[in-house]
Formats: sequence, structure tokens, C-alpha cells
Amino acid sequence: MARALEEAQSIAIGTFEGSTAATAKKSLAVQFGQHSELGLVDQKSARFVISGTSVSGRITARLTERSGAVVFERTYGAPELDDNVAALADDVVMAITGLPGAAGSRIVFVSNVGGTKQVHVCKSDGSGLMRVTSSPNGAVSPAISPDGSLLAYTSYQTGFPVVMMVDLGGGMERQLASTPGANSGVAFAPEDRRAALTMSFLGNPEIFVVDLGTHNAICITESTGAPASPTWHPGGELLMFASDENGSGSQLYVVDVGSESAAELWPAGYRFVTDPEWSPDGEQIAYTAKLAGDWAVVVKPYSGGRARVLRRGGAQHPTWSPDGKSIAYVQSGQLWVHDLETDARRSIVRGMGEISEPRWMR
Amino acid sequence: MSRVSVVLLVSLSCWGLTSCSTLVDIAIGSPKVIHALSDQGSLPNPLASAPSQILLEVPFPRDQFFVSSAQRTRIEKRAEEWKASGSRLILAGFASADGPPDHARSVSQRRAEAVRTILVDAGLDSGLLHAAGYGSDIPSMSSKDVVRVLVGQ
Repeated sequence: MARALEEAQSIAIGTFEGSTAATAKKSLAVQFGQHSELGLVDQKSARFVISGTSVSGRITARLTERSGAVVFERTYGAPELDDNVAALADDVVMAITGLPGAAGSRIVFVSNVGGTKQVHVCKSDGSGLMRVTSSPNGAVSPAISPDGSLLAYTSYQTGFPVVMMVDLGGGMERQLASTPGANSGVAFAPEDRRAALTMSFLGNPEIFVVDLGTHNAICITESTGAPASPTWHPGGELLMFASDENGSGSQLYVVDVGSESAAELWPAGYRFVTDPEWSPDGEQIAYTAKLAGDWAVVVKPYSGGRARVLRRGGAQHPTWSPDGKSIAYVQSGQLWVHDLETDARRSIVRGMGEISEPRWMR
Repeated sequence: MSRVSVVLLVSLSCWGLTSCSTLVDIAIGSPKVIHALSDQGSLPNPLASAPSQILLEVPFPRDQFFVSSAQRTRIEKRAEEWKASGSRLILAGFASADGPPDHARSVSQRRAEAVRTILVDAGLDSGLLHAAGYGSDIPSMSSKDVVRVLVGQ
């Protein structure tokens, strides 16, 4: 079975021509080698072959099956060769395995390295690090829309917490929520048209679902406590959030956004849990829990079953990779990526002051 | 936790940099008093306030957002004086940096609201009381579990 799968997903790097072809081939081999579901083999035994041209960093590539059938042929015209290789690798992984690749995906996070908290972004291997905001008093709680076009964050520029949205393509900025009180914790719905967030203008914090087209907001909680950190099921109907209802510890709740029914407790299994994030396949929840007085990152099947403590010792704020195979979190101020299958982990960003609130773009 | 029995329709801020009216329509199905927060547009930046503008600092135990009876008495004692002055107040909630940031924001907002409720009960005009939670995001202001009562004008 494993062997059959391996053969079905075997790929070879064929002929590439042009001034940057040799570098492109080498980088592609590295990308494919990092993907456990792809078998990189020689051209004779491969089911798929990738070939094409690479001139001055641009790549035009064709993925063909052994039969000769063309799976796709695309041109990647970003200024940097690395970005083109990453985009091509993701397309190949998607075409062969049906799963989104992580090579070109981005992680947004907060760092206080410059004195105030500001939103930063990097690639999933930690490279390409950039500061995105330079908001007086700071900017926190970032999220990227599933299509990668919008960045939302909470800005303290005016002295009050205001949710801003930035069009990453055009750089245009607008306010999503400047209602009185605290506004934060934006979670984009899977279809990009709605976002959930916490707003407090009613006199206490509640979770709202906002239509990004009309800006109408519907309150979906009636909390006596401190609701925060909404996360969507990939189906776009269920929303999970954390709330401390009476000061005895934050717990996780699930609500059907389309119905009038009340939010229900989801048993996470610990006395204090927060920062939930639904896995891309909707099967599991990753969250932060307090274990014996220290923070830990935990993963548990949504339908119930055993909770798996992924990392103790102050690990916080888990976020899933687009393929659901890894989880990024913060620990000791650093940003880590943890492989769920092998339990291997590595620090991808450090020396950036205190890092918090990572979100992996889907 | 019960699901909200009313649907609140709110038009959020418009495109662009100028802030516009945020609250268009609140449809309330059952008689329930909501002391919604008033517009914060004309308020001074509470993060730039001088120490002299801090009228009171109310401490909270870690992760808690209920006001103890001792603190309630402290707040109520000052409320008379603030009521007489008729000035606007900003209630700025903070939380210590140990906890998860988004949780800290929500808890600190709750704390600010709890102090606001005591002041409303003491007879202050809710329209003059603005509450905002900053969690542990502004350590230059406070990294303690407190609500600061600040002069709002």
C-alpha cells in the first residue's frame, strides 16, 4: 500500500533550459525532498515529470504524466527565482497529492523587537521576514484571508483598539471595525466573505460575524464573560471560540452561525484553554492549555477522543499549516514549526524580541 | 451560555480614514437595557495620558474580572466627585503579560466594563463613560492587572 502510494506520487525533474535553469532545478529538488508525500526518483521510473525553462528567474514549467498527458503548464513571473520555485512546488504538490503545499505560504505574527508590538510576516521556513505595520502604540492580533489578499489586525494608532484591513495586493488600508471599546481577534471565514471578531461596543465583549461586503454584523454570543479568539470550521458554518464565563477559567465553545441555537461547551479536557484553531480538514482542534501551571499546545479530535500534548514548557497559540501536517506556535519568544508525524520541530524565527500570535495563511 | 435572542444589526465604519457613525440600528426584541458605548472619536488618546490624568487605579486578581467589595467601595467613594464634575472618563483595562494575548484583551475589556457598571449604578451618565481593554499590548502604560480611570477631556 505504502509502496503503491509512493509510486503513484513519484516525480522526476526533467530538462530545464535557460540562464537560471540549473539553480531552479536544484531548488525544486530541495522543495520536493522536503515533502514526505512525494517520491523524488529518476526519470525512467517516475509517474510525473516536471520540465521547462527558467530565464532570469522566471519559470515556465510543464507537469506531464508518464503517458505524456500534460497535467498543467504555467509561467511564474515573480521577480525572485525562489518565489517562483516555491509557487511551482506548491502547484505540483497540489496537482499530485490534492493537498495544498506549504512552500509558498506565509505566517503572520506579532513581534515587539522595535519596542512596540508590530505585525510581521515570513515564509513558512522563516525566510523573507518583513515588518508589515508601523503603527504608533502598536498593532496586534493579525490574520490573513484564505485567498491571501487581505490582512486584518488590531491597531492602537488612535489610542483605542481598531481593526484595520490591508489589501496586500494594492496596499490600500481601511477600517473594518472602529466601534467603541475593544475590537480584535479577526478570523476570516473559509469563503473570504465574512469575518468573525470580538467587539465590545454593546458594553461587554461579544463575538460578531461581519459580512465583509455589506459591513453588517450579527452578534452570535450572549456572554457574561470574556469571549475571544474565534476560529472557523472549514465548512463555514461552525465557529469555535474561547470564553471565561465566570472568572473560573477560559473554556472552548462551538456555535452554529446560521442557526439561533446557543453556543455549546466543547470539552477540551483542561481547566483553562484558549486560542483554538480548527485543522484545515475540520477533524481536529489545536489550542493553548494550562497544564500544571504552565502553558502547553494541545491537539484533540473535534469529535472527541484523546488529547495529544504537542509541546509543554510555555508553548502557546498554535496555528495549522495549510496541508495540516505541521503546527506553528510560539515558545520562549521564538516561532516554531512542529511536524505532527515525526514530532521533529525547529525554530524558524528567533532574535526578534518576543514573538506572539502566529497565524499560518491557508 | 445562551444564544443571543436578538439580532443586532450594526453598520461598521465606512471605507477610508475618516470615522463615521458606527451605530445605525439596534433591533431589540426584549426589554433589556444596554448601556452601549458612545463614540470615541473625539476622545483624547488615552495611551498618551500623563500620570496626573490617572484618577484611580483599580487592581484585579489574575484572570479575574469581578470587582471585590473593597474595590467597589473605593470606586463608589470617588464616584460622587466625578458625578459632580460631569466630565468624561476613560476606563482603560490592562492585564499582566503572562496570559494568551487575545484572552488578556477580552478580560481587560470586561474589567473596564465592570468598573463602568459600578459608576453607572452610582448615577453617572453612561454616555460619558468610555471603556476599552488593552490586554498586555501596551507595556509602556501598564503590565499589571488593573483598570485605570482617566480624565477623558
